[in-house]
Amino acid sequence: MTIKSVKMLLSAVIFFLSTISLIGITTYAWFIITNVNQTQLISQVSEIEAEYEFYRFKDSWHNGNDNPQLLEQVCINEDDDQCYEFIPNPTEMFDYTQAVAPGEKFSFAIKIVSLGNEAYLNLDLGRISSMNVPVDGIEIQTAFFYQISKVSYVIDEVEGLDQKDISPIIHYQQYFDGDDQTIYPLIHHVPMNIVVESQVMIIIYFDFCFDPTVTGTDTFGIPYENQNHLFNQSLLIEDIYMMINPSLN
Amino acid sequence: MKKWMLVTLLIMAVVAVSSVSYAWFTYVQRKSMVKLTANEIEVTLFLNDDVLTTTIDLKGLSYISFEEEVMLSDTSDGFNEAGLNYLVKINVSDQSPLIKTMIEFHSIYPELIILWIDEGLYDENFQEELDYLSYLKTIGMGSSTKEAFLESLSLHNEGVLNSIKTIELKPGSIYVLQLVMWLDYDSLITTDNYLDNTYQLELLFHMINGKSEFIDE
Repeated sequence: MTIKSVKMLLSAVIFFLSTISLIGITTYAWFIITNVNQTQLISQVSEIEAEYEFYRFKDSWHNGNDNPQLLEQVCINEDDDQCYEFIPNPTEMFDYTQAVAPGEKFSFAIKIVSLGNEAYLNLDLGRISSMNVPVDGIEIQTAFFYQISKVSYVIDEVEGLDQKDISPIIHYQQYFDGDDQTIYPLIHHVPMNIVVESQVMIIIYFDFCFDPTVTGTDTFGIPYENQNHLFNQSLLIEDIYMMINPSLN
Repeated sequence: MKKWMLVTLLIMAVVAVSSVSYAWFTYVQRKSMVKLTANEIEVTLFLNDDVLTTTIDLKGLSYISFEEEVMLSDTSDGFNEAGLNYLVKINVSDQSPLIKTMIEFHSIYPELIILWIDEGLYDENFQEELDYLSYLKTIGMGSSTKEAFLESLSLHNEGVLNSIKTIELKPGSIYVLQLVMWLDYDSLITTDNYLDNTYQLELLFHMINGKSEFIDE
């Protein structure tokens, strides 16, 4: 074997190992990065940090919560009702095992701890879709709307009054359309540091409501008399996005 | 050979860099929210342990004297046992949404004494009312005549059935009503062959989802 042959063999081995390593690293990186549901919603934009906790209101009557006070209404026991259940690091959509019906309301809360930076918070909803929709059928999502019920700040462990209508906060109430790609603004421009203290806790309460008056029309444009055509459909609300900006722009 | 390997490596590198870049730029911080499913109302009705279907024969109605055994008597003396009683159970399936129920019940027979009792939600401690005499005396308290007593009873029954239609029932729950019947011998229009009398009663159940209201017709 000549020296040239040895060099070629060594080169081939090095190239081969490099290729294998590249493929391995790429594959690993792909699975790590695209596994979005393994992440927590901790937004780090422009060195602004905030952490969140997500709660759903346990309410077997499906009336929602008209007087939300998260700090006083956190569930203690598993069987508790009419209280906020902490959902730790949610990796899948919360599946209501109870069937839902028109006129019902479902309440949620997000507690966000600002780590002392001057910034504004936006929350948006995305990937809203309907399952089991019959051909030419009306999607159940069009009969649902969302609303912000309250925004409050917690200072010295005391939850303050509702701030949702105080400028510069803009909150939204709207129906879901039939487009899965639409991003729905939930609340924008929530100041994250209203006091000088280093940590501020913001609680944002919001509801999803099944409007019994939205019946839709059939393929001939004739309004349905009721919402029976929505039976067996599921509404999927897959994503909530949190964005933090250093300014209102 | 070397040239071929270089080309392969170059292609692999481009693919790898593109994949990582794509994955990186499509990475979004987000969390999953909620899934809500609309199902049909699913309710099973029971009359005692039998599924309530289209027609059921009720046998065992007994004659009593309403004035003597209810109004003028302080002890049951068999009156309670003579009542033909049925537990009407409204069983809401686990897959059903919250519901409300409206019951329509009409009797055209003056001799048929009917008592509806709201037994409430069924649980492991359930015990139905069996002291009908005391129950009736409470309803007819203050009634000096049989007509007034029967009017109070009629209003009580109407109240029970009206209150049911405002109650939301959760999936998995069982709501119980008790229907008790006697025949008042004194109210018979004719006593000819009275033991062969038959009575047809219509019991209609309407269900809607829990957040809706029944429209009064």
